[in-house]
Amino acid sequence: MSPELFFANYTKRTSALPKPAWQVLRVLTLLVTLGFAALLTVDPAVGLKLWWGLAIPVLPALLVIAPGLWRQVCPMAFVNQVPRMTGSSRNQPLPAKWKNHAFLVAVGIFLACVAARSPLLNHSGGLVAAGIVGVLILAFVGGLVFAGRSGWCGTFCPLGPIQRTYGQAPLVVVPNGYCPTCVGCQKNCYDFNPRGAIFADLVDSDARYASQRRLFIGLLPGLIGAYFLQGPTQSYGYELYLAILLAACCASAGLYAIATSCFPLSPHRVAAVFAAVALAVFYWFAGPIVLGTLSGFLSFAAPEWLTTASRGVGVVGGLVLLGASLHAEGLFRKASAQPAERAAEPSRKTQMLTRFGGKQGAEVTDRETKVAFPVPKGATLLDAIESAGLKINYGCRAGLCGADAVVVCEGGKHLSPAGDDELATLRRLGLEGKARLACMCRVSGPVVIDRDPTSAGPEQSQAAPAAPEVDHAVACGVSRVVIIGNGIAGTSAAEQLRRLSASLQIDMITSEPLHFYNRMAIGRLIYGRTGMDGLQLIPDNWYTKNRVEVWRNSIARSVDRQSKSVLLATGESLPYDKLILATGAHCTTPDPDFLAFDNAFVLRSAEDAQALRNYVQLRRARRALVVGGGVLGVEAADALHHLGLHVTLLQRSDRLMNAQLDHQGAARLASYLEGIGIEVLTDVSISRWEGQGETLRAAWLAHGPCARADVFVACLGIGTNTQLARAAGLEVGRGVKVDSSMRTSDPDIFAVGDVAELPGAVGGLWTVGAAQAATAAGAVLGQGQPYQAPRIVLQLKCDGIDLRSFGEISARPGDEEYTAAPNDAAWWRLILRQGVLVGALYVGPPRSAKDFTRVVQAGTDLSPVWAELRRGDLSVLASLSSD
Amino acid sequence: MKFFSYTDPNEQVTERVAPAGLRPVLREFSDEELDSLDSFVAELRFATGSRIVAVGERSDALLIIVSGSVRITAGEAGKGEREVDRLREGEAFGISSFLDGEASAIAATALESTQVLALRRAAFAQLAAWKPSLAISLLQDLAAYTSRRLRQLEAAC
Repeated sequence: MSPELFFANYTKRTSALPKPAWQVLRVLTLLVTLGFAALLTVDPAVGLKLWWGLAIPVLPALLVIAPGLWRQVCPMAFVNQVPRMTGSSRNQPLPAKWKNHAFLVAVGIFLACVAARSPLLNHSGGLVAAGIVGVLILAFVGGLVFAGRSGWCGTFCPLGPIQRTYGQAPLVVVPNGYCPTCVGCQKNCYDFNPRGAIFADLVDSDARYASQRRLFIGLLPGLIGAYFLQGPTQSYGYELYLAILLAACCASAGLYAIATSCFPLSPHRVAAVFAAVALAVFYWFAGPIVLGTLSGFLSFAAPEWLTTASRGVGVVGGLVLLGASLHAEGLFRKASAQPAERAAEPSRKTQMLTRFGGKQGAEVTDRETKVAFPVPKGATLLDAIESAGLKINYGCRAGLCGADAVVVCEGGKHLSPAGDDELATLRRLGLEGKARLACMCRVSGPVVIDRDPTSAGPEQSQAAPAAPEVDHAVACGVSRVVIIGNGIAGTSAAEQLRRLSASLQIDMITSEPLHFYNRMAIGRLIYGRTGMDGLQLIPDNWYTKNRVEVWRNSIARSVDRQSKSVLLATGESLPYDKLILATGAHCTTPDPDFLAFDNAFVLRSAEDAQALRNYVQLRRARRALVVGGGVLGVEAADALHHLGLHVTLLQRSDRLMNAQLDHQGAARLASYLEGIGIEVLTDVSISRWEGQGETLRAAWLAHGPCARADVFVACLGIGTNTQLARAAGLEVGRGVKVDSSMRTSDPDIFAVGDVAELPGAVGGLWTVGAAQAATAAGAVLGQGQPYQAPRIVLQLKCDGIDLRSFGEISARPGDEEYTAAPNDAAWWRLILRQGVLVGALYVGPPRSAKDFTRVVQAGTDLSPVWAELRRGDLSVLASLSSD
Repeated sequence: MKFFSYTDPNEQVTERVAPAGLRPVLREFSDEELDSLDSFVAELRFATGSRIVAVGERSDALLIIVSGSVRITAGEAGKGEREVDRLREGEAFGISSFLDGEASAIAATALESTQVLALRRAAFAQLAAWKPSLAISLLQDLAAYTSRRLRQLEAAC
């Protein structure tokens, strides 16, 4: 048997009997004990014979063989544990002083009982009965007051020391049945580990504690021998009787001391020998007594050989006890010689520290909160700030919008250098040289940041006017450009124009009451409390500094191409040499009258988002129905969910984001949304709307059921704002048709952003608008290059999921594709055509796509890791450099 | 003599207290589970003396100490603020706010350079969506830890 099994504590052992059976046995034993007390009172002669001649002498043998059996059924233990079992115990911890003296008290009672046997207890049934009842009462009171088994069994019980001595190496372990959980009520608890207790006792670090146990074992043979040798009665007086007992105890204990101090014997081995000798001595005398009692009650005459044999029982028992003890010691030594194995067990204590040691990357400290957080390898500063749970705005994640500008207080040299796009954006923000865009920074060392870009100071906040070396407007004879629209395309166009010409007069017309803001973050306007704070992407003085005349809250009524002027609704006319249309797009609605209802919304502008939030709060809306399961619909559903609404998301297609995701990716997305509580319905269309007055009540679905809600949000895509262009006679299709220089059918009019229709180009994205604006600005001033679509990796703006989509979502014949394993938590697909990545998508847990995003965004060559990708191992992307 | 795993009587607990004492949160989690959890928690380090949570702060994050120690106090700073607990590695705080989303009733201050994991309510919902079994395990672990803390408090009262 292995040491672990041999020394297994009671919590790792199973009882041979069910608990009810033990309870029955306990009650029976208690009744027998009380019966003894009654018999001792009523018929002392019989009672005393049975008690001292049978019951007590049998007990040591039981303690050698299966001490746990006795401890399970012991009447004292039972009454001691009744309060605990019934929940009436006060469960007080035993005071430290009592703990220290409990063993001596138990030994004292035991010695007193032995000493009192000859003069009193062997002859007085009433006294014995009283003693039995007395200890039962004491045991009960101990259990009533003290926790666990510290009120009697493990402390004051006079049988305790003898049990630990004879039962130091139980042949059969019967596990403790009283403690469903160990409450640690006592030291080196015998019930916890009966085979281990002796080793713990004898070598305890408390020398006095160990000495007390050794002393008892040492004196036991002398005590037993002296008692029995003096016989049940003495003629020489009790004083001498007691003196002989005391002398024998001292002599025996002295022998023990000599054995342990003069010979190289382990305390345990000496204790085993003394216990064996005590047992042998006991049965040398008690064996015939038991035999006599039995023969007396069973009316038979025991032959002499049986009497002799009964004396030998003790010798045999002693040898068995000694052998079992030595066997236990061998196993104990074996176990103790395996320190390495033991040390492994608690090592998991530091597992979390090892795992979350913060050593995976460089550390960034936030100046405002003084919180430091790691930047994992491959992550941007924006990723790390978001991971740390700190508030930060974000937008395009491509360095164009400038929503995530942070001031670098210390450690700027540990950030990756800024690229042209980032520098241009920082220049627009007036933060060049002081702040960085978190989405563009990779961190290699300690950095201190401030998330408030205004902390850069007023000087830096002033946007510096661009000062080109050559005024391209003068060179090409253009003096006045009018831009209609102040979104990313219109603002970028103005910025680029000013960069190319200091003299150019730039007029910007916008119907929006707000300056250029982060339209990508309007979802946060729905559930956030900060309103427009941080959403403005341009300083108020930018227009002044860059000499851009802004016509805010103004509507361009018409374009007179003949006179080359724009007529405003206010009646004013703005002449132009070149006109740039950046009128953007609007949300389409499921029904022409949809927005006539007071609880029907679209999400296109900050005003839309604020109106929706206001309505939800004022009307205490609880349910929202989002129509359209594209990117906008999913983001809107997530935002409304953040606001606390129960959201249902309807998608006409068979899957969400069907333009960006394959079936598996869409399934992961739907599973996630449903996991956070958003109900997703696909393959559904709305047959009619049910309204009540000005309020929509429900949407009836084509297949029968109706979806009721308090607010309805349409996210069905966008329609271009082409009215002005159409009225001006420009060629218009889905949008205003343009060539590769973003020039419309009128060579003096350009169209950029959502309103422009360029064959084969993806629209509706910020990076596209910015790139088209740069192309158009160059073309306006004769510096243009043909439009080249930026590499766009779509990122869903929901913080509980990493969703990326790039290019095509399904492979053509001849393409090579790699995918995740079907059961992986994250789903991904990479499509390569002649070795070039033409499609990539990823849907997985948050923060899991950073390497994927980096590699796909950079167009990194994947050929070195094809083998791993073929096996479905995406982690290999971490090894690829994006350079 | 460490072979026997006796409960230390010097740290005796009452019958109402679980046997393992205040077993730290996440201690039984496997490496794989901790890796999965990584996507949903924030790793934060606070300098000595930093206020991690203030009384009345609307932070709904469960905070688990990875290293260092934290002093928990009740009452507003400078107005009868009193220490109610000191927590060490593996222990958690911010549990009430994490569970009910209400403002914190306690303040927590780093006694030394202290690293914590922060799990917000929203992140927990996301965890439950991605890894339901892990979320349940975490909740059970947290419930057991909270129960032990309550029992300890009961015993102290």
